[in-house]
Amino acid sequence: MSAPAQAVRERGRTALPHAGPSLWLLAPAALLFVTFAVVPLLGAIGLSLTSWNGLGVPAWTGFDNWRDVYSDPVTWHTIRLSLLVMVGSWVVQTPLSLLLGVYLAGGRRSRAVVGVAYFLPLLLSSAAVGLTWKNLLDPNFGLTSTAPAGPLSHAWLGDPRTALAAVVVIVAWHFVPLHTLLYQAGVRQIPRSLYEAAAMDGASTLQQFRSITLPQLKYTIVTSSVLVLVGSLTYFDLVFVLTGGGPGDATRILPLHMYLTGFQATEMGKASAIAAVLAVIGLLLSLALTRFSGFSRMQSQQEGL
Amino acid sequence: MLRHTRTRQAAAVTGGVVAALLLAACGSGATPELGQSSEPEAAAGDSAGGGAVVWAVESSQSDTYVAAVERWNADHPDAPIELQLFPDNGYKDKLRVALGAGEGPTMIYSWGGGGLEAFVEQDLVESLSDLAADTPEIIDRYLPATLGGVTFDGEVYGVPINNMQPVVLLYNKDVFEQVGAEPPATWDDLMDLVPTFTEAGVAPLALAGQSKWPQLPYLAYLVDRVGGPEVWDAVAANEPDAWSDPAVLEAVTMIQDLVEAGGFVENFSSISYESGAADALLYTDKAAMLVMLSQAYSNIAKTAPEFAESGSMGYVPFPAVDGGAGDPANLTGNPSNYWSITTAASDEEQATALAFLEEQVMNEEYTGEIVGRSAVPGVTTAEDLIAESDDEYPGFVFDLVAEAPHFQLSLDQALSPAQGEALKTALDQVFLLQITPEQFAETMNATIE
Repeated sequence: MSAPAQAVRERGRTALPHAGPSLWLLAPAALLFVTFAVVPLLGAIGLSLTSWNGLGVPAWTGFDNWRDVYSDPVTWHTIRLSLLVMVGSWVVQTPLSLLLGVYLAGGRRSRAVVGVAYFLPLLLSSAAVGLTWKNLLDPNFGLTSTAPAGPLSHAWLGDPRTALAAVVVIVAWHFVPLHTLLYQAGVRQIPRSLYEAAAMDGASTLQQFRSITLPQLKYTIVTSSVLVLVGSLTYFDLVFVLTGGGPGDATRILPLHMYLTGFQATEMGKASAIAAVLAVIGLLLSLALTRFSGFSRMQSQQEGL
Repeated sequence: MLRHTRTRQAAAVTGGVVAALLLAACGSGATPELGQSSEPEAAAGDSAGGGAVVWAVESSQSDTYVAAVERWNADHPDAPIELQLFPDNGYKDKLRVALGAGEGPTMIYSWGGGGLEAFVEQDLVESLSDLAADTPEIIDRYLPATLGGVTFDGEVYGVPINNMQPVVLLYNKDVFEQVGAEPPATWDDLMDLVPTFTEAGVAPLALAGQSKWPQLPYLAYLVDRVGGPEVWDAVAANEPDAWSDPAVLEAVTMIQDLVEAGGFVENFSSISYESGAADALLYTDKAAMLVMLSQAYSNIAKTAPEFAESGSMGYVPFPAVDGGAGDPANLTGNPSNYWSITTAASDEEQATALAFLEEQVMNEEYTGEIVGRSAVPGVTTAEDLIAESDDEYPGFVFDLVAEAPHFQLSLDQALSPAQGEALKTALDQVFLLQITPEQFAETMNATIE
């Protein structure tokens, strides 16, 4: 390592506290984080080393639960389902919300009306969304049972082959508005002059989208994707209401598996071990995403403007 | 200016989040958000007087509880009872968390069986045999058969608060008449009926597969009919490989034969019982039969009165199995639901609860309301009550219970929670034809502790 390089780095380091706000501003957030995230996490890890049914005193069992979780094929099945939901959610939600966001960022009044109507799902609670869709998809008395549904009249949630896909679509219905909002805001931040210059050069709308909108939205895409990917690991309420993990174990994703193990099977120790697995996967995912997307060194996209 | 507003908004958001987190942290306390209080002025924490807090699950029977508490509160303004009704879904979790944290109400609603036994082992509910020693009629008024699920080591830990619920086979007489069929007396009859109904475009059996628990009676009955109650006793006693009993394998095979023959309504896996769709299939002539807890009769009579009043709803016991070792008169289901008094409650609260059980539960008005719903309370006077009623169904249910040599508590309640949970998933896979009888036995054997 050469001396000048080190000097540069050191200067960079010492310069930081002066450049940014005081670290004390972090205190309230850090306090909340430690109280409501770190402490419970440590508690769960402690609990994962015990056998406890939720009543009485937990009995120390060492790494038994971890061995159980590792050797149980159900765990791997639920992890696989969770990853499928994660990938599925990204594939469905990202392009849809990107296109909708770009469309809604346009100025016409009709778009504002569409926009307002479109954001309604965001206002509903997961439980309400779950119940509504469950009834809509009821094969005997729901919307899909009526004649106009035609080929759509399938027991989407009752068929083990389609249940997971149906869940992914319903989750998307619920969350796409949020991401659309992000993209809409992102698009509105792009300077008009870029488009004006491009138009003058004779670029088509499609070319403008590809060469201006998409690159300018890079960090919005990263932000939204992180939310989708990490968020999809914690989908629980909607799936619980929609299918309860069934049919069979076709939609038993990891968070649901944790809940069912902890509160229905009352094996709190094993559920804590599953929770720790979930936390580790989420942590690794966030780290990987911020590292490989360049999210941590966000640079201005508008240099020279 | 802009920055100013932003800071303020951020502060407001942070404040909101803090409040939400604090609320969430307190959420497991004694004041439930979901509860529906019949007596709002008596707060849950208000234990100064001799008041008591009672939990129950909302159902087609909960009107009786509300009325009983109202009568009590009118008579005893000094010791009011607050009744909190919860939806079935999530109630058990709530109960466990509350009792585990020492925050429970005075009286809790339960299904008896393994769930209640866990509380008894931790000394969280009182033995009513001790507590009601001076007022033995609190326990004595019940039929012994209904107390099995709450009796541990000879001590009674709860009292029945609603009707007896054996699982029966309800059928649609109109549909049976159309195809000229008789209700099934044996399993072979049932299998023979399947093609008759499918050809007529009617689903032979309605089933709420998404709720999973409606599938349990099929297993409970068939294993009992084939091998007798000893098979379930071995499972309950955690004997190694108890699930590999030939009777279990045969019962699972019979279930899968019925599924393969098209015995259940198509798409049964997307039907939840709570939505009422399975009942609706029966009374809208879309399905011919329904295997369900006896109270389905009164539920249907309530939602589709014209169907019930026209005499279209028939009922028979679950079919016998030719050559089986079990007595075809054996039953499964819930003998009742129960109220138990918690140890965390103060002496005054316990006294109030006891007096309430003595005065208002299963008194003349209470039992009258139950019989009025075509149901049978598990009390010694039930026979007289039924004799007065002009409805035949309560008599049918009463005779079933009275003549049953064995009444198997619903499997998910009878087994340990961990086993019950595993069973529901594994049995669902059996109905979906995803696993073989051997795989089912293997999965369940792995849950034996």
